[in-house]
Amino acid sequence: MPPRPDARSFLPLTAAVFHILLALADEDRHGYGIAREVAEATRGDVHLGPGTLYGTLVRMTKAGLVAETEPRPGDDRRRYFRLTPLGREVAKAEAHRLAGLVGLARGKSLISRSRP
Amino acid sequence: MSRQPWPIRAGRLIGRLIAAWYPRSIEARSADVEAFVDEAVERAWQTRGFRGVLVVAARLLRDVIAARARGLALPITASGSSQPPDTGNSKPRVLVLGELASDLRYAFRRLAHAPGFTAVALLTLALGVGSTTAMFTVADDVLLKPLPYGRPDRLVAIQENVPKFASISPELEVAAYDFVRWRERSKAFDELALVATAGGVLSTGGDPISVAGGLVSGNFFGALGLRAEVGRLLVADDERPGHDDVVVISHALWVNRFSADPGIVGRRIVIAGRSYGVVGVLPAGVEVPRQSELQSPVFDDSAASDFWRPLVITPSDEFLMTEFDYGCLGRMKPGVTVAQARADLEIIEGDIARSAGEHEALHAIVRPLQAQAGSRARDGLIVLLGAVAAVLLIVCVNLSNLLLSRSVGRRREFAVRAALGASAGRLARQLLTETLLVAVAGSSLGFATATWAVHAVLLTAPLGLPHLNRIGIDAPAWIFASFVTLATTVVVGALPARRLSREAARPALADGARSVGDGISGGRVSRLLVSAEVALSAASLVVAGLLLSSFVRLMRVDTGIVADRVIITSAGVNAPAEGQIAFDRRVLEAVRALPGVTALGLTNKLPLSGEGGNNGLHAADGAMGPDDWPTVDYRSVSPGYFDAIGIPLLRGRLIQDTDGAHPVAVISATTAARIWPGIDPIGHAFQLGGSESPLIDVVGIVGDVHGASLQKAPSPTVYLPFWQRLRSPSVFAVRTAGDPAAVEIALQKTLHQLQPDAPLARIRAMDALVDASVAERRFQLEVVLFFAAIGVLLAGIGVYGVVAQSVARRTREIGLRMALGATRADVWRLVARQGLGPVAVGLAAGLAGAVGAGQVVRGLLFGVTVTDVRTFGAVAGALTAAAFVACYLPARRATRLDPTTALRSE
Repeated sequence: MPPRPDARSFLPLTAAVFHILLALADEDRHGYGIAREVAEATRGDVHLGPGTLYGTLVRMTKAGLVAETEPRPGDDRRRYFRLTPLGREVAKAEAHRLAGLVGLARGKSLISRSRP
Repeated sequence: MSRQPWPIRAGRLIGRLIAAWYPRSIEARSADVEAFVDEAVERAWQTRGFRGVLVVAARLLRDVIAARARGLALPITASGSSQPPDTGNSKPRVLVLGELASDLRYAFRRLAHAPGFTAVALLTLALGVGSTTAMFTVADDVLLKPLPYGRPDRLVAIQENVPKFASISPELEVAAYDFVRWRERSKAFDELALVATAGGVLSTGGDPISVAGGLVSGNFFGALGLRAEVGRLLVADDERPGHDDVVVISHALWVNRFSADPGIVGRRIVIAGRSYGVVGVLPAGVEVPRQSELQSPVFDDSAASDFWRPLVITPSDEFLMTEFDYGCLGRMKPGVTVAQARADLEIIEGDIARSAGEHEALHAIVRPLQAQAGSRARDGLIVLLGAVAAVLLIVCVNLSNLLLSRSVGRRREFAVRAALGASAGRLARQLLTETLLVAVAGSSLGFATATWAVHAVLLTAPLGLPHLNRIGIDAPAWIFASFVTLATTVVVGALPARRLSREAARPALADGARSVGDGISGGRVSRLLVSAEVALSAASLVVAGLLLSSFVRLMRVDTGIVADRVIITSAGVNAPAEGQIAFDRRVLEAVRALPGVTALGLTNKLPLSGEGGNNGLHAADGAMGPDDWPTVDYRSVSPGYFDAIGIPLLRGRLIQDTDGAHPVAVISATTAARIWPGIDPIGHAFQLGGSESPLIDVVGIVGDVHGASLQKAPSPTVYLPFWQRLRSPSVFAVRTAGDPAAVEIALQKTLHQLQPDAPLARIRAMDALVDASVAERRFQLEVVLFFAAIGVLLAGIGVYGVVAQSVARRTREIGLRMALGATRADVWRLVARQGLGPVAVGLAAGLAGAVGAGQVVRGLLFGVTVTDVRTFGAVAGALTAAAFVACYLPARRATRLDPTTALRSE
């Protein structure tokens, strides 16, 4: 098995990849489940279509960020995805990177401390 | 599993269709994508309903396009410079496009290899899309497009209604008396203008020519919001007596007659013997409402107007409760509705009626100008639209059938391709590409067809279509028709695509093993489609049949005249009444002397050419009280008129020259029966118009004539000697002994000698006039028959396709049966049962539907009921016969087969 790549080598992530990582952070989901979670979390701002979603998932699987779980009994049509440890690290790294950027913006009074 | 609501099912189907276009690597996960689409559609329906489903479909489409455009080179890392951790098997963009191109290339090749299918499909589409677009274009233009005037929504046409005249004409034109009161008192209108028809000989600028024109109130052009091309248009001041010798001319007259002379303004021209100063020219292409367009539907094929003079109303033109002679145009004040405008006029109408007498009543009818201008053509257009819609539906059904039966024939090809490694999605996409290619090509052909058809309609249609010069192909109509066919073909194309790709997915080259009883569901769909097709054809055939019988009956209507070998022409001089009468007498005398003339007469209005003058008839000793005195159609004639036109004398005598100044009249049979029922009216007297008018003696009764049109029952008519009551124009009717052409030249020469300054007389056959009166109806009939014939043809092709397909599928079975001793009759029965079953179902549905469709055209029928048994029977017979032929051909082929060959088939 090749050594695990450095999580920071993936940064910065595309929006779709980061959204998928976030959607899988708390539980395993199937394709539409991910799209729905993303839509709900962004209050409908981001809609991932199958093309984007599966296209991205294929690449993320190959990169080892996500993995397919065993099919669930009685639900053989859907395929579920989970976050790999690398995926979780990448998500954390991206979140830190973004948090740093947000802190920078806050220091310049571009956004207020409390959410409107 | 309980059945889902149809929007969910439809949405899933459409979603999966769209998803079939995903690039290959996504498609490999097609089960995931299907699950995704299904859930997305279902949830969208639950949360946002139909709109939600549409939004999902739109997003899916965008996603597919995006995926195709970028391939699957979806990066994980946002920055392009850093090394992506994984290169994957990202496909270069060129390859993805190349896949699409190869789909297209292959589709082209397949279609070229099936020229029969391709030709029928393209023709079907071109016909369906083309005819629908053309009819939509015409209908949209006439009925829906705003008129080319400023703020057309505020323009209205005004008519009047007098209850006691309603039996003859529920909608009258406007009386000058009432108009003057409206102008004084109305608060709802910015402008009110009258329009009348004028005409005469223009003798300035070249040889004398006849010109048509309008007499219009000074504010008429202002009300329409028009501006002059040169000079000015008429203004209110032009209405003042003594200042009204001005004229506005049309752009066409200015160019053709006066070579677009820029100095035309101020020049004086002579029309009908009087001199007028030209004040301006109307811009090119501008049509203004004519008198006929402001009144109830009447057929008007008169020439476009060339000039407009001010219409001056003097107190001597105002008559209380009579002489409803003018078209009336109004421009409502901003914010005023049609109902408010009508209410405003009704108050004034009430006052006028009260001033006329205790029992009088008078009402105003106000309609948007748009509706009024298009109303003549509306009924006819609705019928045409119906016929076209039926054809479009039939086209869709037929196309579906074609695609279905074609897909059955390609099962083996797809199995081979699947065996060679094509995925199910790839195959489905291939089929859809072909379908779309046909649809797009057919729609383009349809556009060309529509362009041609619109021109054909405009050139030939005697529909009385207003504003013809504005019509151009209607892009929305074409898009609509194309969309309908495209959607149909995609949805229908999806059925075989789905089935075939599924089948292909489990490799099965051994087609023969499944040949008996296979394709049941496909066969069922085909049969359903055939039923639908037959139903639509039946309904449109019934409508065509009803129109046909109406037409035949109308042509059989006794016109009341004998039109053959009668020629007609008009002549006149610009002179006061005495001069006109003297001229008419000279013409009568000269023409009577011509060889070949057996009878000769003059009238102001020929039969079948619209209403004559309407006036109230008062008969002191009639059966009616003063309140019921009817309006009669009065026409001024010469003594020989009745013989010339072939109206029989029933009782008494005709008008004679010896009647001199003694007021006499000949009345029609209907007039006699209406006013003096049960008694002999000869010797009785009546007054026409007011109570001051002279008493007129009835001297004879003549046969009824369809004065206005064939559809309209003969109205009560009164004929007066032309020298006692002259009404222009003078129309001469000449009955000839032999060929009318022999007399025509002599007639023209005679007229020219009598009026050397006038243009050459136009001579027409009375037959042609009778023909012209039914031209509109004949056109509607021809179009509907044409579409119905196409419908039947397409339905026949549909039945043939289904039967031929099922026979082909059952070749082996039929061979087996024949080998076991089945006779040809047995086989024929087998085939016929298969083919005629769906026809019978469709026929029943279609005939039931035709009862409904008939209601729509009820207004156009004449002498037939909507449920005419003979029409329905004939349609059922014709369609059954067509279906028999369609079944017979494949059946014959089946029975001619050598059983051993049949058994070896496939």
